[in-house]
Amino acid sequence: MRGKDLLEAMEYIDDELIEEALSNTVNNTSRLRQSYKKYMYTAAAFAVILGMSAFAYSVFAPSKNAEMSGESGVQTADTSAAEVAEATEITEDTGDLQTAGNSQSVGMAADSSATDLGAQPEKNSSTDQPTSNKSEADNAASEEISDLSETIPADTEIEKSRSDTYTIIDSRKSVTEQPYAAYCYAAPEKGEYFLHHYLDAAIKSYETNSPAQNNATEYAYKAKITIFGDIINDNGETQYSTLNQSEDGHQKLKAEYERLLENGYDVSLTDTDEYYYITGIFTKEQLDNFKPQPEYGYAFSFEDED
Amino acid sequence: MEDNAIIELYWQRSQNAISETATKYGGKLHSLSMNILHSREDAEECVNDTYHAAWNTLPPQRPSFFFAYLAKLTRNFSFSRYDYYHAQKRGATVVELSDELENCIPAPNDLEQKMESKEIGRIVSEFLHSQSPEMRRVFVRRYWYLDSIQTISEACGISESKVKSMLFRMRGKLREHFEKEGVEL
Repeated sequence: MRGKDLLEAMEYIDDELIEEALSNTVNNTSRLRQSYKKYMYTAAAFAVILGMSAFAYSVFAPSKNAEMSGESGVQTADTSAAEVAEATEITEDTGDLQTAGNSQSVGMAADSSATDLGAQPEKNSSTDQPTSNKSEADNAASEEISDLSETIPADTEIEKSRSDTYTIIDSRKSVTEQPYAAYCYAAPEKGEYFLHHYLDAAIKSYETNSPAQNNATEYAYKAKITIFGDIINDNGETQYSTLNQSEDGHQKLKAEYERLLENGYDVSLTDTDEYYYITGIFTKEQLDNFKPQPEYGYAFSFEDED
Repeated sequence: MEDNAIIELYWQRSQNAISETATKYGGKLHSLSMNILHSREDAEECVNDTYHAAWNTLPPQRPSFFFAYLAKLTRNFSFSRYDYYHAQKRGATVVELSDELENCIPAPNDLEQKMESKEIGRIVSEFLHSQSPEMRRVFVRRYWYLDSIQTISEACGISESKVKSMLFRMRGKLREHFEKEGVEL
């Protein structure tokens, strides 16, 4: 028998299975979750782009201005921001936007010894980013993001702002560069949880040294959660073990993942042919106050810790 | 209209039986046939053949799962037409899915079919019943309805990579199940 024969023999499976496959009762929530994720990714992408452009502008533009004015010796240091903004105008002939507010036009002004913006060469408009134009673009982007935010559930806002405000610690190497020492741990009791050595050490290190008092960076920790519970092994016996070792456990793990999501934790489910586990980004406070399910034990660690 | 009511129309030899069937299940049957034949006209003909066969077999039949009954007819007609058209050259979908299922066959391939297809269907059913509803839904959509990975992903609200991963695991398990059952295909 070949694959095609088996494909055709599938015809004889139970009618019940055939009809069940088209039932959508379970799928609606999953679809919602999928579209929710799409919104989340879109919002995150916008935030990253906006952040990067703002950062690049704030760091790069002023320094280049200074550098160029130093070279030309024409632009006076006392040119105020207000003057620069006022100097922005649209040339009537070409419609090109031209400005004296950025580095390139400063350079051009030096070359041509021209102070009349209308007389400046046209080529300077293509690479220039006028101040007012940029701020309009930023405003537009902000509006788009805020529009998106209105359509996205509140959790997403939390996550977006969290990635903006927290420094994520995700590796045991954040604690030490020493060679990795493997620690042995007993399985956590049901209804209990603990942190592996390096994660625990990282939290102690960062939270102790973290100048929370002086308004500096706050930290969150990307951790893998190994969950223990009762699973049915290959012999049909029930045993207390990590949930990712059987299909039965996978289902429980998925349910627990969904529970954590519903409780507002920033978690994700890694599902490949080889691995099946939950990771999440937690603050110290969340880890301190984590509420385990009574039937499961939890071990938190960095992903590169076991 | 409820399935039982439609079946009753067949039993009463009402002309509305086929139109009600087409209204309720025509689209799904057409999609199923399209997945196999990739031809709108051929799929349309297979669906019409299905209505004709239903008309001729109801009565005496009174299926408990009406849609499954119709879908089996459509699948059967579609594969027959497929074999007729593609005696020399196979369509891409059937080749792809045949290759995937080849991995489930434990014994070296021999062309002789040593087991009845119905018996294989029973064993596959038994295997599927031992799996989670989500797993078997994905498997059946792939190998019974011949749906694409993308279609399954959208229908079930899970990622394509997860669908592939689930199918991979299911094929491995089915192979083990065949071996455990001592099946020689």
